[in-house]
Parts: sequence; structure tokens; C-alpha cells
Amino acid sequence: MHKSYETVPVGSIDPAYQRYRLGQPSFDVENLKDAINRSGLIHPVVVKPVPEGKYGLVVGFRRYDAVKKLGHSHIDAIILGPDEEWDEKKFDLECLKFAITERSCQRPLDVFELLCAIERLKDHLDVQEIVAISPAVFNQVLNPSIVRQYIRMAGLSENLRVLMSTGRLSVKPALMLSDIPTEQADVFGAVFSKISLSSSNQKDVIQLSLEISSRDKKPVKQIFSNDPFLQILKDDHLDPRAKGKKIKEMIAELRFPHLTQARNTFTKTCRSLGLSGRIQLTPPKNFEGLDYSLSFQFQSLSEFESCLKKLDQLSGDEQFRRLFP
Amino acid sequence: MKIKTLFIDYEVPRDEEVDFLIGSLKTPPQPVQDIREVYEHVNAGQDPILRAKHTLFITRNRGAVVKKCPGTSEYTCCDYTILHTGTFCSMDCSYCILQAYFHPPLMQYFSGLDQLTSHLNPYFKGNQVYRIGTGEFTDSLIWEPISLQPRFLVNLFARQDHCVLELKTKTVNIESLLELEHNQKTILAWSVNSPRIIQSQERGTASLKQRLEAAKKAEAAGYRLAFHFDPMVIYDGCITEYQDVVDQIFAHVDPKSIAWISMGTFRFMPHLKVIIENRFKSSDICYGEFILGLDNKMRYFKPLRMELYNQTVSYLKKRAPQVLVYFCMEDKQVWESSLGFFPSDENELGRLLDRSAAQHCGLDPSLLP
Ligand code: SF4
Repeated sequence: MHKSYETVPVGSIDPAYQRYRLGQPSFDVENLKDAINRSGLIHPVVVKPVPEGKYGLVVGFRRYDAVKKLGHSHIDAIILGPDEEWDEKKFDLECLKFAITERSCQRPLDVFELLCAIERLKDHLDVQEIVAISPAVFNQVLNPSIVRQYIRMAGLSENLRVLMSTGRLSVKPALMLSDIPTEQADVFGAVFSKISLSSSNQKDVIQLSLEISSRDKKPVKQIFSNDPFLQILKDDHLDPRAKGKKIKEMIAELRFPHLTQARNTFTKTCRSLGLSGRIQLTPPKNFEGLDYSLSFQFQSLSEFESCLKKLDQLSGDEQFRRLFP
Repeated sequence: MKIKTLFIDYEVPRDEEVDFLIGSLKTPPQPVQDIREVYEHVNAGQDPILRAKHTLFITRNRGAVVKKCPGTSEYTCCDYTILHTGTFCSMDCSYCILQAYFHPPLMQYFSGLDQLTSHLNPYFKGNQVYRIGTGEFTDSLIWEPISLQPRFLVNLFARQDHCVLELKTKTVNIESLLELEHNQKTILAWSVNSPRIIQSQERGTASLKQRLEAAKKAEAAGYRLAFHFDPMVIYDGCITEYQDVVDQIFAHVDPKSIAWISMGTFRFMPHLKVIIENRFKSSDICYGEFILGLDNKMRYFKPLRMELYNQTVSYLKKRAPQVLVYFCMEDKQVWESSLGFFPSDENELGRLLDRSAAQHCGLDPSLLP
């Protein structure tokens, strides 16, 4: 690849050309502006010629924004040019590799950047080829399954990518979202942006909501725009973790209404019978098997005797008897 | 049965049975040395399961020909004996477990009527009653229009009085069986379901009406009958619709001709769900209230199963109190709440069914315990 160092007019760079932008646009360039004001532009931006006699940025999007905001007329740039035998496609691939390498040598790429990088590389390379160039270009060895996952997530919307890069959406649930229509996936994105859930709980919420949607023949959006859900999402007194817990419980209840009701009734009855403290009654898992179990804790003989007395009373209690179908 | 590709194991000799099969299918067979060639063909399809339904491999059974139904210890088992005559099915039910049993599924016809005879003979001479069925790994009667096997088996069983053959189906393929001297040693059994479930989940099967018309014809030809409400699916209005199926059955056949009726709600191995979701996009059958059962299969939350069973059984018992009704893979609580008893010792359900088989099919009563 040819490189020439020049000072080019800021206006000759096409701001709409975003092919090599890997991260999200950053609007906060104040510190950078100050630094450039003080010391000038230490690292030139990197550009390539694009149609209509303009340049497109390959590296240095923030620097360009800062210089533009400072009102400078010109900017120092390295202009990339293709080797003689390269066609446009090969030149694009090399610019892409250049942009990724430049970023990954500064720090490991975040999820958003990895998504952008792999999504674009897949226009040129297959999984094995991406794996092969990864040490040199990504500054890390990517394994094939990771690359495949990122390729699968290539269709995720901007909103979901932002959620991923801020850690509010994990890879596994994101993969689930990449398999459903964007419109539906974005509904989950909007919900997850307001609540905090672990990766496995996010997966459960997605899975159960999709099942409810198929069962009730209504779009996912309608589930979350219903009153109890809306109220929780809007409740300023609940922190995101508490909201997440409630949303998960409500979705599970909507998906398994009878099972939830049975569990709630059992728990309530146990509580009112005093069976939720040192004496514990446990029903068969999911009320499927036949075996109930009872355990109690005691610290002295008198506590032991009082537990036995309590148990003796229970066997004649109508409410207790009703626990067993 | 529409077979697009027919393979034949090069070791299978061309005899009357095989010639009849090939002649009926009107598809030239491709001889293969290695079953992997057949698997490759099936796997090359975009939907290998669907492709397997149009591909038939004629081969010999190199595994067990007769074996006991495995059952599970957690739920009652009917103590059935499986006659392994073929695998997979040309019909396409969303819930079909066979989609997930074989990797990939393969429709195989096991030729060798002599092999069936030699494996069945010890059972015909045993000192107990056996209920033997071919409907575990395939539909028993998809083969009837194209092969000699079902009629051969009916004739074979007719000549003894220790075993009863149960041919279980969702087809109406009984024409060639009607004029046979079956000696009532064959029970023709239909899986039944509500018309809504048949229409939405059982692609390519006969309608309820057609199945019951066929049962009526079988009854007129002297056959004993059985019905299997399986899988019963829980949905709004299902109780009324299953009660309606009960009405339909008794509008077509006399309860006295019925050896047994079984019931089982939908249950599935967890990994079948993905197959159903991929192959039957509009099916919502997996989205009921399922929990993981003690046998590691998904099954409906027990109170929901009990409600459906209670209502269907009590309705059925009002119409036909004498018919033996049993549950497929259920526990004590379910049995007691719906039928008022539980076959608690091992094999007790099997013995009940043996007695009914003996009574309906004229088996040797001295074999009963
Ligand atoms: S008829 Fe039986 S074997 Fe055939 S597809 Fe349906 S469930 Fe499977």
C-alpha cells in the first residue's frame, strides 16, 4: 500500500464516508480540541481517495471532528493508495485491515468494534481466513466459533450494538436476538436498556417472551406495552436490578400461570402455617413427583421437642391437609 | 406413500416380498453397499427430515427384531413388546418423536418375512400372553398398500393363541386386511385426536372421520379395535373437543369391540422443541405449560393433565363403562384421581391388558396368571 503525507483541506474529507469507522461516533471531543490547540495534531489522520475527488477517513474520526470543530481549514493526513496490481476490492480490504490494526494496537477492541470489524471483513474473507489474520490484525487470536458468532450478530441494530458495548446486553442473548426480526429484537433492546439482568436471565426473558408471543399470537411489543410491565419500566423508585427481577418474574408468570399460582399458594400456605422458618416443607419439583420433604433445624432438646409438637399439631390442620392433592 | 428415491441394500435378495414392494412404489431401486450413501442423500436435503419421508431404504434388520418396550420406572408402563419391522414414517406430525430419535431419520423397510416368523415363534410357544406391536418406530399401516408384511403378520398371528398383534395407525390403509382370516388375533388400533389437532399438527394423516370410518369397516370384518388418545394437547376448549372425539368413536363402533383405550398427554424430549420450531413454524404445540418430568421429558404441569384426563375419562366411562382405559406413562396420583385405582405392582397394568386381550381376542386363558 502506498502512503503519502500531505496537508489536505478539511473540506476535502467526505464526512458521510463511514466505511472504516469501527466505534460509535463520539460527540465529546472537547479534551481532544484542547490538546490539538496546545500541541497541534501529533498523529495525522489516515484517508483514502473516494469518488468526486474527495477523501474518505480510514483512521482518525475523532481527530477529524476536533479539527473541524476548531475551524481549521487544513489537516495533516496520510493518504493511502493501492498497489499496482490491486483492484478496488483488495484496496478496501487492506484499508479495513489497516483501520482495525490501528485500533487494536492501542487497546483490545470492544464488542461494538469487533462486530463492525468482523461484519465488514466477512465481505472479503471466510471464517478461517479471518481467524488466520486475527493475530496480526486484531492483536489477539480469534477462534472460529467466536468469529461465527459475530458474523451471526452482524444484523443486529445500532441500538443493540450500543447496548452490547455498554455491557447491558451479553453475547448469548444477543445471538438469540440476531435470529429474530429486528423490530422484535429492538423491543428487547428497549427493555434491557432500562433493567439489569444477568446473561442467563436475559436469555430466559427473550425465550419466554417469544413463546408467549407465539402462544397468544401477539407481537412481543404488545407484551411489554401492557400496563404492569410499563409501570415497572417507568417506576423511578426501582433500581434497574429490582426492575429486572420483577420483569423476569412477571414474564415467567405469564408463561406458566398455573405453575406460578400453585407455587405462590404453596408458599403462602406454608408461611401461614409457620413452615417457612426453621421447619421447612418442600413440595416435589414442579409438583410433578410424589415426594414431599420436611426438614427442621434445632439447637437444643427443647427446640427439638417444640418442633415435634408443631408437627404433631400440623397433621390435624385442615389448611395443612389441603396442601396435598 | 410417495417415495422419490428408493435404495436397496445389496445384500437383500430379490424375492416375492421385495419385488412386490418395488413394484408398488414404481421407483427404480438404487443398490447400495453402505448405509452411509443413504444417509448422505438424506442429509443433502435442505430439510433432511422431510427428505427422509420421501426416501426409502429396503434392508434387513440387523438389530433386535423383537424387544420389550423400555418404559420408565417413574411412570406406569404397559409392558408391551415391540416387533421391529421398519423405521420412520411418510406422514409428518409436528410432535413426532421419530424426528429426533434417528440421526438423521431414515425410513427403512426391514425385509425378510422368514426372519419375522423365526423371531416370533418362541413367543407363540411361550408360557404367557404377549401383546406385540409394530407401531413404536413407524406407523404400522403406512406399509399396507405397498408391502405384503402387514397381511403376512395378520395371517401369522391368526395361527396361534398366545399373542395378539396390535397394528397402530393414523391411516385408513386396511383394505388388504379386511378379507383375511385374522382369527381376531390382530387388534387394529387408531391414534385419535381432536380434528383441530389432526388438522394443525398431523400433516398427511387421515382425518378423524376417515379413521373412524375405517375402524367401523374393521369392526365389520370382525377385528378387535383399540384407540389411543395420544398425544392429547391442552388448549382452550380441548376438553369439549376430546369429549366430542369420544362421542365420535362410539357413534362408529361398539364398545364391545374395543380391547382398550389409552390416553397420554403430549410429552417430548427437550431437544424435539427446536425441531418442531424449525419445521412447523405455525405450530404452538410446545408452548403449553410444560415442566421437566421425572423421565427427563417435558410434560404438562400435572394439575392440567389431571383435569383433562378426569373430564375425558369420566365422559368416556359414562358411555362405555366396560372398556379398559389406561394411561400411558402416568403416575399414581393421576391414575387414582381419574380412574380410581393404580396398578401398583410392577406388570399389573400389563396383566390387565393381557386379560383384556385374552378376553377380546380369544387367547389361551390358561396363560393368564
Ligand atoms: S403418524 Fe406416527 S410415526 Fe408417523 S409422523 Fe405421525 S407420529 Fe410420527
